[in-house]
Amino acid sequence: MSHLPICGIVVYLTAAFLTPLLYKAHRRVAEGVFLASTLSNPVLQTLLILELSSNSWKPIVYTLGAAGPYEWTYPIRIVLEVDALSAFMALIVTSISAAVALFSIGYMEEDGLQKYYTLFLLLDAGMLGMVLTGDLFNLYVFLEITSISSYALVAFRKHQWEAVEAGMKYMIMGSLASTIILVSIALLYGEYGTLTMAQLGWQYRHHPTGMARVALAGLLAGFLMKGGIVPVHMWLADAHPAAPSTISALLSGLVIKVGIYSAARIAYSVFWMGTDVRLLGWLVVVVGAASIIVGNLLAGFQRDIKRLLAYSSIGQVGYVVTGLGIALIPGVNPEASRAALDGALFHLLNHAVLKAMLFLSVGAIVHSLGTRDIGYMGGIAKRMPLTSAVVLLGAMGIIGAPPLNGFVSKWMLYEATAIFNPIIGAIAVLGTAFSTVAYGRLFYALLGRESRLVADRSPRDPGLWMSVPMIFLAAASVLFGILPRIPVVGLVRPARAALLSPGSYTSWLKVAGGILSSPNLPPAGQPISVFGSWVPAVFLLVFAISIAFFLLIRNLSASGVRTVGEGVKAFLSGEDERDFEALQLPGTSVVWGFAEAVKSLVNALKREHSGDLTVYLFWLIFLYAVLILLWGGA
Amino acid sequence: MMVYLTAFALIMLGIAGMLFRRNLLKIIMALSVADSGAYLLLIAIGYRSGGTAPILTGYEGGPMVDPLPQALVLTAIVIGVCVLIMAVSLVVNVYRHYGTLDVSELRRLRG
Amino acid sequence: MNTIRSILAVSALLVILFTFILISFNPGYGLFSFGHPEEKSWRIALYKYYIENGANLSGGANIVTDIVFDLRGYDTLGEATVLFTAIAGALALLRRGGAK
Repeated sequence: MSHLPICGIVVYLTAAFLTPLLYKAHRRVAEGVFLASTLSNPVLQTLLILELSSNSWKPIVYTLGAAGPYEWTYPIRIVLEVDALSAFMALIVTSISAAVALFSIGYMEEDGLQKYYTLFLLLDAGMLGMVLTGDLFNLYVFLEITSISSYALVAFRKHQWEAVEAGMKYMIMGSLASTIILVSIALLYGEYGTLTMAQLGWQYRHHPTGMARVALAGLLAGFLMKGGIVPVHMWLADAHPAAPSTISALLSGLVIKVGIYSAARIAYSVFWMGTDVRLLGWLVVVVGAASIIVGNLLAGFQRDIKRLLAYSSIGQVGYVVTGLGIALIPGVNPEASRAALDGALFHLLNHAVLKAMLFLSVGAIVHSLGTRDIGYMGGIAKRMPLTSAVVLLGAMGIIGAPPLNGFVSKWMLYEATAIFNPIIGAIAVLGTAFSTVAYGRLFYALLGRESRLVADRSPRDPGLWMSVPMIFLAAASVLFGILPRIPVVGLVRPARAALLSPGSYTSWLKVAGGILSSPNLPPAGQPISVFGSWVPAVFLLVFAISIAFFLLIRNLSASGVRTVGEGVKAFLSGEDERDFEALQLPGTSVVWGFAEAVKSLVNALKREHSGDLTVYLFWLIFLYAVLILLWGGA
Repeated sequence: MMVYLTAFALIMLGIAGMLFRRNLLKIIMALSVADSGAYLLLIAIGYRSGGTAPILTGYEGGPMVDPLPQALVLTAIVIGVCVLIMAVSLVVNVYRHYGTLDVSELRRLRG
Repeated sequence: MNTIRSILAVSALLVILFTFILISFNPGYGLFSFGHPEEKSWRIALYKYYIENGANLSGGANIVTDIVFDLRGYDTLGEATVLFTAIAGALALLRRGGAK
């Protein structure tokens, strides 16, 4: 038996325990251990993927404390179960955190650094444990490692009120979600008498009961909260900007993805078969679509650049969740279903790369300027050409401009959503329009006239430690955009096949006998082409509906009276009005009409983000109750 | 049955306390009440009527209760304590910055 | 919270509580019978296996100890890690200085 699955976790944990001790000896030694563990882990996960693929992607089952899972008819110990999806997630988690770790060596210069390194490694260990485990309670334990270390890291700059407030809200919401998850795990154990996820899936398929459905409602509510999905996303927009930029990159790039992964794993591999999941799939699609609208729209109205990125994360994760939800619904065109999952998983990878890159490069800008207000960043592209280029590249990737990677995955998702349901397709297109508005302001700000602050501070591009990870991530984004076949064929499709055939997840069980095939999908048939197919009629319909949406939103709001004032500064350099006149292309002509048109909607949404913790908690309980009503009670 | 109901009542009371109390410390106490409900639920699931503790003593007078939930609860209690450690250290910092523990004062981040 | 939201919150709590009561009392809903887990034919009797073979597998007379330290020892490692995380986090949050 190969010990590869556990190796990554062991490496992270050992380094986490060693770092504070070695830091006492010398700072550089501790940093060496920190870097060695984070940089070696992607190699380990690549080896794991190679081992999986050489065995035709059959899940590897690793038993803790015994040679194999079977001392009895049922598995009695904790198992790690690595299938193509787990390995895919593990590679993303370790690679992105390697890049972020390299960046933090140059970036972090506060006190308490040894605690920062320790918590960073523990966060990684928690996420890696979550994606590799095959045991439900173990998933909960590692979820708590991830959550507790991220609470501490969000509030790491405890001398700023913002970090403390955001950390407090994140902590209370996250703990309530964890409690709901724990109760659901208890219900599942009471019902089926086992905690191994594959075995639970098998039992559920053969004896679906109402209580298991109630448990699923709780698990989904909890993990969707961890993933930052509307309506339980409010903590995200506070917590991600408040953390140090390296941690924001980890949180936005990885932690929320791991929450989504857990929800997907439970919804697909444990619960998918044995009953009708149409309602559940629709519910997931609806919350995903709501996230696309809310996240991308509110991103366009932020002056704080990191808050903009955080809201945009909500929107982009909405795409992933929408894709996952579509494939849950039985009876959808299998081609669309496959494309939706391919797109969702590829977008998950792309968003992790792009958001890590954006947060790191924006962190370098914020670090050198000392402000996060876009208005003061005018003309920084001249002073920090490399960093600004990376920021703008990331912005283009998130908008979905070809030839970057964001374009490919978004294209797959547009196609899938359009074939699935034109209204959802129109929402997907609208989300891109909104995020174009949000990131378009960055272009004006960074490439515009030089602001007084930039002139005073005269910032420079960061050093080697910080440039290398940024360039690495940017190169990955361009590479995945130009040659999408490499990641799609090599990683995404096997992961999609693993999700779509829950039979393969349980195939190693002794009781399994024959492998069940999934109810509505042929196994891995004709693969859909990477750029999808062009169906003009469907897309015309989508564009028509998009235009109808725009007109509707426009008519709903009061007739726009443009008042030049506060808003101008958000995308210009933050200078006085006379500079505004001097610009060749006034920003008003691009963004202001839009801002007026959607004002009523945005104001209503902003009122809901009132900052009141109890309201945020209410939304979590409300989502839980709705999930129980729609799905558990059925 | 009543044990289940007590467990669920504890969970509900905890959640209701989190929703309707405004003092941060009380919210955290409500959270730990909800957690206790979850532990009680786990233990109750493992109970067997007339059962004894799952320790091999040579006594053969009836069934033993399910040992697995007890092991899970041990782990879960430690995790719950850890969450409390973090929550209380955050509360200390909140008080340093805001001078109050009222959540309605904790609303500088919005929009 | 305003009035409407309070009403909604109470009704959400009632929905959840009602569901829990339902699963405690209604036999048709997939109830776990208190004290008689073997009433459910589909439930895996993992605990019986632990009680009968736990001592042989890991050598302790206390089955809970066998589970905590051997059969599910990985969870205990995770638990210790959670404790370590919480202490590191609390030390980070309560450290002196940091006013930079």
